[in-house]
Amino acid sequence: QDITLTLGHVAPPGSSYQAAAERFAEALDEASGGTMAVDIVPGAALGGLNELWAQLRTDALDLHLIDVGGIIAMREGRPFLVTWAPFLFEDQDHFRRFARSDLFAEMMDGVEAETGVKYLGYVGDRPPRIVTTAETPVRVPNDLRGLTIRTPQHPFVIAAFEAWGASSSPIGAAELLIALRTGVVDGQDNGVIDFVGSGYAEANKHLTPLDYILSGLGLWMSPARWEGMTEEQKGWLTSAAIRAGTDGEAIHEAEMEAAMEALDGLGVTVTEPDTEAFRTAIQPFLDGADGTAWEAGLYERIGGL
Amino acid sequence: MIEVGVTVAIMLALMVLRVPVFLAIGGAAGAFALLWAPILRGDVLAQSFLRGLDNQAFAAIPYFFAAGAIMNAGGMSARLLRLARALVAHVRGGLAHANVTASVVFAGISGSAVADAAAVGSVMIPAMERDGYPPAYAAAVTAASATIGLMIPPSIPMVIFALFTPADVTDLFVAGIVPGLMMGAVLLAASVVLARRRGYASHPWLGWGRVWGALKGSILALLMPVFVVAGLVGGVATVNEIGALAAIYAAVVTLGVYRDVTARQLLVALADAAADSAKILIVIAASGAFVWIAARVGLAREMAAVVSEAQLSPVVLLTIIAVTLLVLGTVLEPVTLLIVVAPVIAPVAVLAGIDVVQLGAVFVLASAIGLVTPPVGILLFMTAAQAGVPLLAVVREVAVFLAALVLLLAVVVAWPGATLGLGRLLGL
Amino acid sequence: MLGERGAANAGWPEAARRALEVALRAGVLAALVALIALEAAQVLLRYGFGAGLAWGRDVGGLLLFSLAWLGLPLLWLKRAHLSLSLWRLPAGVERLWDRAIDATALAAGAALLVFLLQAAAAFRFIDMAALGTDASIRTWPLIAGTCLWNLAALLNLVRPPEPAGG
Ligand code: NA
Ligand code: NA
Repeated sequence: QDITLTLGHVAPPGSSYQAAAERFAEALDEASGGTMAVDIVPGAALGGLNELWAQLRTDALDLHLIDVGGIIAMREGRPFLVTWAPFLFEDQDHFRRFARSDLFAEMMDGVEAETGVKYLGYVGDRPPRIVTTAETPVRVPNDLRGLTIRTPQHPFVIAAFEAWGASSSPIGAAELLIALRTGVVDGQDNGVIDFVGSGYAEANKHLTPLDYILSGLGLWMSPARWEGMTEEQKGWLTSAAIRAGTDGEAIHEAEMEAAMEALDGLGVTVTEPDTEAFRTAIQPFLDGADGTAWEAGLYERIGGL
Repeated sequence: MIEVGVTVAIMLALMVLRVPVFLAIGGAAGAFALLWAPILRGDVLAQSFLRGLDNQAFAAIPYFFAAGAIMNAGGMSARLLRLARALVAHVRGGLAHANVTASVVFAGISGSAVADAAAVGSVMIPAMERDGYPPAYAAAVTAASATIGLMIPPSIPMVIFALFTPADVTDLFVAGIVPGLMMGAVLLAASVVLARRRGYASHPWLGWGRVWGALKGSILALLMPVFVVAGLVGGVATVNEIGALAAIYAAVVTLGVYRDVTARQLLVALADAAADSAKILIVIAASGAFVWIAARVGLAREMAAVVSEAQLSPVVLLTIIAVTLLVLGTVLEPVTLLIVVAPVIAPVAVLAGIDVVQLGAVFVLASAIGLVTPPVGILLFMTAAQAGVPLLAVVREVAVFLAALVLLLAVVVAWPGATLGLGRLLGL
Repeated sequence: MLGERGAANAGWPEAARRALEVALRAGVLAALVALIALEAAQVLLRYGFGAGLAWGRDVGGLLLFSLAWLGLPLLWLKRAHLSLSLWRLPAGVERLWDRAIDATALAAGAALLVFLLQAAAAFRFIDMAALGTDASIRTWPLIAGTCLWNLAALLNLVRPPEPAGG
């Protein structure tokens, strides 16, 4: 190969991150006729989220693959805070439409201009966030009342669970299984694939596919590396990213289906939520955030895509 | 692969030149950065030192140092030694057996073999000398039995192994219990045989009353390992949390019940524990650079390719690993050995079908044996100094115990049940 | 007591040495005690209230970094770092050798300091939400420890040969 690019990501070797990175590497190999290769370094071995962003924008790392929402770790990535807003997306297809929209490109152009990093494209889907509990089937917000749910410490997520009557607990991932087992927390919020893979089903027997936050994986390239590419190579890179994303769709659907099917064997009961009731309960929060946490009207515009 | 070879060679050369381990690792990484620029940039090297320690689980190391230091400062060691003597001093060679027994109990309290040897040796070596044992023998028994401290939980090398590999630290702790007790048994057996052959002294049996009294005096100290193991097996707290609670428990018992030391003395012991743990933490921070380099050049992938081509069976591969560790252990102490070797070997071994928990037990046992092998055996240096005898005399006396430990290592390599059986029994 | 009088005679380098050692010991002790207290508080909060400290992980990380990187100069002053002692040298040669290692440390520390400052600059764009600051704060313990390491190496270099029995 004439060019080998180093790609770093923070997820383990067996993860959807790794699968997306491998799809991209394959697509690039094909598009470039074997002249461009990708060296994938998983498991945060080159650095955690912070270090990888820092290395990318200072040209110490060629490629960084991460959840699109993960760009808010950088100060200039703030416009993407809105992607964390609950019920912004109807389903994964809606998120994909957003990721391929002019609006997204416009938002990302701003980040590119300020940070210098180059966004190559949308390379994979992520499971929507669900809620699981120990004993309570959750259909409406009132079912969550009084429960303690472990959630990510994102202000939007905390606000949402508070609006639904639950308290949000910031217990760390390392202590979560113990906390669930001993009943210290009643439930947790996660993607269904991770829920099945992590063994939490031992303590949580009820699952509600609330699907209130959806996301996907993006791929970014360092400023100098991108500038050093010929126009032809730039074309290969972006087309390979697109290929990785579209090729990943069917795989994602299959994995989601397999995880949902596995729930039965784990003795987990699935309760379909009254999504409208959950959305109504957080409307005051969304109204307050519009124009403060994100540009006024942005939630509506993305929602209408 | 050649880059890593040269970097490791530079690191070892610096170590031989007596450059402190952390600086040898960091310096070798710096040399890599210069020789293979621009793969590793200076600012990324600095980031890797930050990243090396960027895992809250490493805090377990200072916690267990603190718990052990408080226990030792607070007169619990004296109480435990009294109990060991009351139990076995009447057998021929009784003080030697008491030394081994005390080490088994200490192993359950502290995470460091050096701390165990310091506590047991300072009392037992003079006592054994008074009883007519050759001082070198007293030193050898103390050194050999202190190695048990690394196998029976809590164990700092096991925390390190778990953090550099996919092994779970709770599983590792549980896996160490049976081999740790077996170490006690084989060392005790060797001690009994030697006592018979050499006709060492015995003390009069002082009755169950004495045992009962000693037990009552040390019960709060004996409860600590029980809490640690129960807390882990019961899954009610993480290893870190148990470490912190153990330190607090030790402080409460020492200040509130035993009252042998003042709060000021306790703080001095804690400051020593902090410095001792920093000794290890700074090496871990520096090793972040090696993790970065190994990942960047794809070392694990290349090693895996080499090993899978050789088509070794798990037992053969594990034997090769154990022998390699024993050889490296003659000069490297356990922390350095684990930090430098485990991240490279573990992924390869796991791919070859070795259970990562058994691998961890083999790693820790083999590196513990390195503490009593010349030319560099920290426990030999320590106990030789305590006994005031030449190193060579202790080396000669430790040989039979060393043979017993190597035999046990062979058992742990060949029989996975020794390490994994207890965990399976407990349903972990 | 003899040691202390000797120290007084040795003048400012010895006084500075002593002050630095006391301060660093207090620093690592404080970091250790705070780490244990933080861990215990988190267990208590979890079992008592099903809650946690949102900043617990970040502060715990800073304390662990501080323990390691303040321990670095402390152990350097006392020449107590983990190291291999494969061979023994005559006392005079040994002293020279130690000085050479101190000088090496001084050079390595100066280089590391530059690199750490570069790393800190790269982290300035990264938010640390729970602490309300940017991620360069994580490099501070490393920067402070490296500066003090340089100071410790310097103090080791200027230290006069120890009087017999001192
Ligand atoms: Na132990
Ligand atoms: Na050795």
